[in-house]
Amino acid sequence: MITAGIDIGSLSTNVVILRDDKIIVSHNILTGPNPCETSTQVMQESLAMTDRDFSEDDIDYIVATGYGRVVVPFSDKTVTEISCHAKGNHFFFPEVRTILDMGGQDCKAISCDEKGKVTNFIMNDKCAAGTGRFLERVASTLGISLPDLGPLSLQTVKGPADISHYCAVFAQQDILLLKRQGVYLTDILAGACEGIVKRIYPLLQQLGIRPDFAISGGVAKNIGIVSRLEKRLGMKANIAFDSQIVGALGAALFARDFLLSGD
Amino acid sequence: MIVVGIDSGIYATKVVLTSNGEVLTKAVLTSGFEDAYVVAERALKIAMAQCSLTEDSHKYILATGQGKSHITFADESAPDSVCLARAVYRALPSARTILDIGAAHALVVKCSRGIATRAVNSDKCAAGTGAYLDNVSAILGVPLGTMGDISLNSTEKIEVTSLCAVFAESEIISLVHSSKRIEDILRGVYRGLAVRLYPQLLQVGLEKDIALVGGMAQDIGLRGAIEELLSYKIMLPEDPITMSALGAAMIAEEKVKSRK
Repeated sequence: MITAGIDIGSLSTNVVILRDDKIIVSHNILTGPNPCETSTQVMQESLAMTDRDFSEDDIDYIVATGYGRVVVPFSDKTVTEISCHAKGNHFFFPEVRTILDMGGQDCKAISCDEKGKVTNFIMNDKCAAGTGRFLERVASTLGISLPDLGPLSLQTVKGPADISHYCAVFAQQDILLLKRQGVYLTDILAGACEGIVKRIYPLLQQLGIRPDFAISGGVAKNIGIVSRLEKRLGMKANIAFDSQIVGALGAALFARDFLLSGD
Repeated sequence: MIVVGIDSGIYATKVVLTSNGEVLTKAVLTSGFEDAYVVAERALKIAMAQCSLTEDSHKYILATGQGKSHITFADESAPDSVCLARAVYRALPSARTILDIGAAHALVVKCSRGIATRAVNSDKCAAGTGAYLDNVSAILGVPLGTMGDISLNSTEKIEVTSLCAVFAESEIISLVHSSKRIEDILRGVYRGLAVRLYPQLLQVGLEKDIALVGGMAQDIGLRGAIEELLSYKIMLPEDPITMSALGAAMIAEEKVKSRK
């Protein structure tokens, strides 16, 4: 039984192909201006990565998720990314009850039960504060690459700089001013990470945090955010080997379920 | 005696000099990245020179605006809403609601005979402020000052729904990719901005007439969109940018008089 999940996010598109319960391919590319073309491209590339040179017909069931899920021309069904992140995280960490999905353009706090089914969620998708976009903007303003941001933010000299605005546009002005005042780059980055954590924490608080806790999405790769959030929560965060594929994995698991139940 | 009103804004610092109720001169400088008091001092010096006044002429200074607490050489400070109510009453006596749209804030003031009775300020988020339009200008490569005029040539109704200035960037890029015209996109941007400002206007209890002031007031696209939404004309004072500073000078005069 071969099933696949495709997660079309605002910034990256991910595919997971499962043989029964085993991941045989996971792949991600940047979402282009045309999400429909991106979905076809990422699926072709993923199929080419399989050991037996699969074609689309070899896949028994495909579930699409993410903000672009409706435009995927080859999907059998769509499922919201909230359900998929819960299911995907539950697959890696069966004890997980609270999930934070930090994506490129939104941030979701999700509660799930022992089966990985969503029981409640809160999301911010109206504002770039607390999302990957905020971090991208910080990185580009300071001329550093996104993967360097987290590690650098942990090397503060005088502690986190004060970035009082949570709005990404106003925070950028704060950052330019700090830079001009000669504040250390690492201290500015630490301030930016603190700012994001300050913004995300109330979402989790409002939802109610039950252990175990997991983080998925692209921002989970940022050690500067993850370590500060762990400290704030007093709790370890479970993070999959590739935090960006969790939604696609959830979709592939749904595909498996639908196939088995004959849906 | 000379009185001075200083409005220390995020983007611009405005100074108005008055004497016995008459405006003597005005000066507007870009705030830049300097300390607020340094720019204010320079603007004051320019204004003084314009009236051939020397630095040691006796004066009373009142500061307002986001940076008012940093204007250490001012004798006093007053909230923006109080200053605006005073100046708008002088310029447009029939105005009951003032909408002040600056670089980094949107302030709505309800007023009666020069007294501010209610004020709602939003300065935490770029939506509904000049910063939002500045971001649009950068992404489209269209100068901020020309956007309003361009939007008037719109022929197709497009919705730009992003509340967040950062998310609006991607929305606008995809509109450009789908071959939408700049004119129509800009009109959509202005209409979206008006929709975002509307709840804030309602919050103070919208009452006619409405005066538009602040750095963005002269943007014809923004003004048109707000008028379209409210379906009546809004008023524009002669020099909408320096209204807060003028109000500050007026209050300074009152203070000086009450002391005598």
